Amino acid sequence: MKDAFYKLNPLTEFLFFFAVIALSMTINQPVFIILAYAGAAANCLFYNKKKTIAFLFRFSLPMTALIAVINPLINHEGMTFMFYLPWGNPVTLEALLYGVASGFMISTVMLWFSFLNEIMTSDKLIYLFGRISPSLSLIISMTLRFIPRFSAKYREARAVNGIGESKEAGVISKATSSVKCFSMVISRFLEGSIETADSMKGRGYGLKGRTAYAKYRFRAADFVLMSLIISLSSAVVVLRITRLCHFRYFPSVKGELLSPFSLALYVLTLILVLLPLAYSAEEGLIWKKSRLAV
Amino acid sequence: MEKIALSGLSFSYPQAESAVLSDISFSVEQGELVVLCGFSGSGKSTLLKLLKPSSAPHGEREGSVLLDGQDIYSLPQREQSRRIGFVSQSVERQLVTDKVWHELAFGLENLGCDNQMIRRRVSETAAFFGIEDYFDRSVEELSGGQKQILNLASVMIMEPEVLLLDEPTSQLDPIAAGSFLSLVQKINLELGVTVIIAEHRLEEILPIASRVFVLENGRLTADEATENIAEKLKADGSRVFAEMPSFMRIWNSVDEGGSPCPLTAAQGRSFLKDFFSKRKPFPLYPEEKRKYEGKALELKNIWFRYSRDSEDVISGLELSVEKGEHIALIGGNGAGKTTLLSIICGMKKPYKGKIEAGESRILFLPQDPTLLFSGKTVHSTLSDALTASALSQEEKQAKIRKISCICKIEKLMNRHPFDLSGGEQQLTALAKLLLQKPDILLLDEPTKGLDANHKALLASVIEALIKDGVTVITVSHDLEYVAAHAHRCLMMFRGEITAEDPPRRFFSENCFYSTIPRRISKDIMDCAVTTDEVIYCCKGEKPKSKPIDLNDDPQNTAARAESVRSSSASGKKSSSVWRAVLAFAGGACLIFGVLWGTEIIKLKPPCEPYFLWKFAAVIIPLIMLAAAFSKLVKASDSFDKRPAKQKPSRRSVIASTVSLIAVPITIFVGTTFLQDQKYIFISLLVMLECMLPFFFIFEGRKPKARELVIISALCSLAIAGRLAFFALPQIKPLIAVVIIAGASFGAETGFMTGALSMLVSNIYFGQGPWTPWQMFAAGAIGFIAGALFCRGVLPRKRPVICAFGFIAVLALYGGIMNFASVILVHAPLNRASIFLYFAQGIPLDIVHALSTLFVLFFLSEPMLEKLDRIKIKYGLVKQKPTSQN
Repeated sequence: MKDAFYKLNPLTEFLFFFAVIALSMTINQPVFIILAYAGAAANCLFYNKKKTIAFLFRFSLPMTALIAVINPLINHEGMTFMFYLPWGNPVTLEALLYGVASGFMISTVMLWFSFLNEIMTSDKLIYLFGRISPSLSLIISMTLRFIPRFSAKYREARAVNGIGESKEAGVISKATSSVKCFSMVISRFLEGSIETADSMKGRGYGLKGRTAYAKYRFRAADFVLMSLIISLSSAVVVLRITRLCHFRYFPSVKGELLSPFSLALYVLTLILVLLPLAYSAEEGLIWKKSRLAV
Repeated sequence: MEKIALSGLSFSYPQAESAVLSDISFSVEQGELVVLCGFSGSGKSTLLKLLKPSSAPHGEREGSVLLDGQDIYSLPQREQSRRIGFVSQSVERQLVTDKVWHELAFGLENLGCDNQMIRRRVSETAAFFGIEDYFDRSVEELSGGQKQILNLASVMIMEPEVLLLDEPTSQLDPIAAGSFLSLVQKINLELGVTVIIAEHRLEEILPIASRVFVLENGRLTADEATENIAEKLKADGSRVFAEMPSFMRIWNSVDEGGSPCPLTAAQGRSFLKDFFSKRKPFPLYPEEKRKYEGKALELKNIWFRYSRDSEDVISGLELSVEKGEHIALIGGNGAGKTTLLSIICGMKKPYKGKIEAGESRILFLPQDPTLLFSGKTVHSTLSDALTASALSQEEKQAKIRKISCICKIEKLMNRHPFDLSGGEQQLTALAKLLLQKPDILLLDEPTKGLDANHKALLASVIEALIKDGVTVITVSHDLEYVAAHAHRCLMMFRGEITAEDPPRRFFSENCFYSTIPRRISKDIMDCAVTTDEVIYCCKGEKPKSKPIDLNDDPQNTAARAESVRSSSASGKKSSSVWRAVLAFAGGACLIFGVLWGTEIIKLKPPCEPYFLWKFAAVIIPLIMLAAAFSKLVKASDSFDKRPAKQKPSRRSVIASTVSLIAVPITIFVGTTFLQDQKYIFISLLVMLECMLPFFFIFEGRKPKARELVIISALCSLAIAGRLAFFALPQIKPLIAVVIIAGASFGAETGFMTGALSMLVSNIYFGQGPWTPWQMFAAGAIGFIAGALFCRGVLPRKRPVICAFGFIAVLALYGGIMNFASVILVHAPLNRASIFLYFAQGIPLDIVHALSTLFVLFFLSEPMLEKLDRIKIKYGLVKQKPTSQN
């Protein structure tokens, strides 16, 4: 079921994203990078195939390649000399490998964010902010309410004041008249915003003890997933901090890829990054089962 | 039992000559539904607002308002916000949040209800008001009627005992208005809520009202049971009768004594039946024969749709309009009427078909007349219409004077157009269009929300125009207006014209979509479709049209804005100069300290222990900065917060201390203990530690509603700018708006606007690892702009602001974002990589900086002016204490 992960409590989702993004940003063990990249891509593909494919080929892979190329140009550490650049600096194998690794790392982070943008709608963001700071979350909600209102008025004002598509004008004059129109709508908008404040006050804003209503519930699945995310990611963090499966690029590439600890890292990572997929699959199975029972 | 009792209530705006309300006394029983009527400017709105202390205007108030025997102004805020509900006419502006469910829950959140309770009440309220279908939607997606019902529901969810409605349906179409009013009736009948409603649309509300109050020039001239109101007004010869429904007006001029006044259309019909039981109606005078001089406009086979795969909105429409003709387009919502107007005036292009209008000048009066208001006064708004013309200055002035006399706005010339009433705004907008000499004038719902006086005035201006040879096309739901003034009526249905006739024939042949006078006179008279025509058929003579006199209405509404003069907050310069110096020095030292601490600059400290030196290099500039900004920030904040002497809250002290200690520790620990990814960690943590205290301080001091609204409004301006200019490359007014926000409202607001608008704009453009950096950079720019401009360190002049904007974007925003890209791609922090990433960023940064400069050049002065007006008008700046609680 596609919306299973989407329907969880935002806190669970946030925790997941926080864990995977922080880990993908900071662990440069090559197999981990590959697993994280693949996991992020798999999740994105599951939720939005078309967009993700475009994203992968138009943005993610070229960027990785670019970073891999740039790094040896600016980083000259490393022992394995390959050749000299025209301006005399050496290019090393280590710098190239490090570039590839960091290219994939940032791509993984971007993929996670594109998954996050799919899952964390404004509602959930407001809810999360409401936990920390109710006024901030209210500001965000109000801003989201004002933007379409303002944009609609702006479009209307442009049309009414004759800055339409019909006139063929230069970029500068078009921009000038747009800015003027913008400024016109602003005054109208600001006048109205005070009425909004009155409406807030009229409905009791400013009383002591304001609460933040959340339509999200905390269910058993949230509990299970949260504890899974916490335990898996803290295990990975422990492995990272204790440098038990350390991998280094400079001055020479060195690290054990198949030690027991490294294998443990792979398993933990794989489970962690595939949690959303696994949860969706499980919910799907439950649904299927319930149909069979009928 | 008395629910609300007023005794001797008087009110006047500060420094206004006459009172808006004088000596008003009445009482309303528990469970009553009372209608308040009167012309606009009679004080209805002010009276209703005074019954709800939180929305009461500033000014002198005398007399008392009692709710259940208790003075309403001494009730605690919790009581009065819960027990009195208020819904005003502005549908959009009352909505606070972005989601329907959140809007419903908002009031209960304020009261501090727990989740369980809110969940329960929200669901039952949604069910009662029939809003389950769009419960999860964005408020934006709702229609006007749905929005107003949501407003009603989110007030009713707090279980008020009294509901105040200030012309709640004036912005709605008749069908939406009907369903809104039937909900009001349901609330009154089923829940026993006491309702006081001010309305122009009396046909539907009078039959269910128990009493009617009439306000004239701020005095209560009638307080009668609904059955007796007509007699009372007739006995007084009151002009307010013009506001009454048509059947009552007919009774007023026709009745020869004896029969009671009809209160519904059905009663009106039986009244007429009785009247003609013994006599025959006079034959109606013939419709005026008009001659036109050729075609003004011809539409041939017009097809229009919004996008390729959507449905046709206009399908194969044919229309021809003669010169000097007044045609009216009527029909339900979504029939394509407004779309057709935009096609005629060239705002939208049909994908098929031909429009022939020759050389005629087509002008459009939108539903919302304020869209045409460009100036600070009515006069400057009107002058803007003539900027392109080649007339001399005197000729222009003469022209403006002439037109403003025609439109009867000559007395309003020095007022701010936003301070005018709805009717006056409509006339001002019309005057602006008339100055541009239209050949064809398009009017979209011109009578919406107008009282009888302004409607008559508008109609007379339009009549004069038509005599002058101007062609008028009106779109309206106001059938009586159309029937009385249009030459030809066209019914639009699903993008086509399905019927067209002169008004008499048109409305006589329709059976549902017809005027009330026609409906009540059907089968009795031949083809009388307006009130005047029915009266003619009854009496054989045309009713004397009462002279329109708008001048004796005390229009004090705007006096408050004018009366209050700006008290510019010019700070002491001398003390702030050294602070600025300190701030700059501190900033420079900090940059050095950070670069040194993160070992980008490799320098050997003079002696051991090294880390102490590095620690000091960061913390000392931070203390300098804190010293420099502490007073700047506090003083520059223009929001009227608390008594100035109050100590900063414990929370804010803790927050700032925490960040002062945490930042250097982070840098120190990060550089000492982390190896590979230290820069990402350090920079993210430092940014968080810099931003969080701001958020906590803001949260901790419990900001007022107006502050929140202003910040959200500024954020949305910044983001809407980013969206609006999306098509133009790199013209992003976001930073420009942030700078203006800081300059006007101070460092804290500047920071909040910058940081939050970046965060929210990324909801549209996609969050990414860059989000915190963007928030930090924009927040910092807003903060610095506030610290510099608001306090008067730098003058708030256009060249200075522009220069600041250019430098800030190039150095601060560009610098931070380029640094971010170095860090995010895990590039090594050496000279080559920094050079490379800055070099690739700089071209775009320059374009961005130039566009910011461009936007600031045009936007900064008008926008600062507008923000100042807002600050003064709504008491956001400290002023002499006002009388309001």
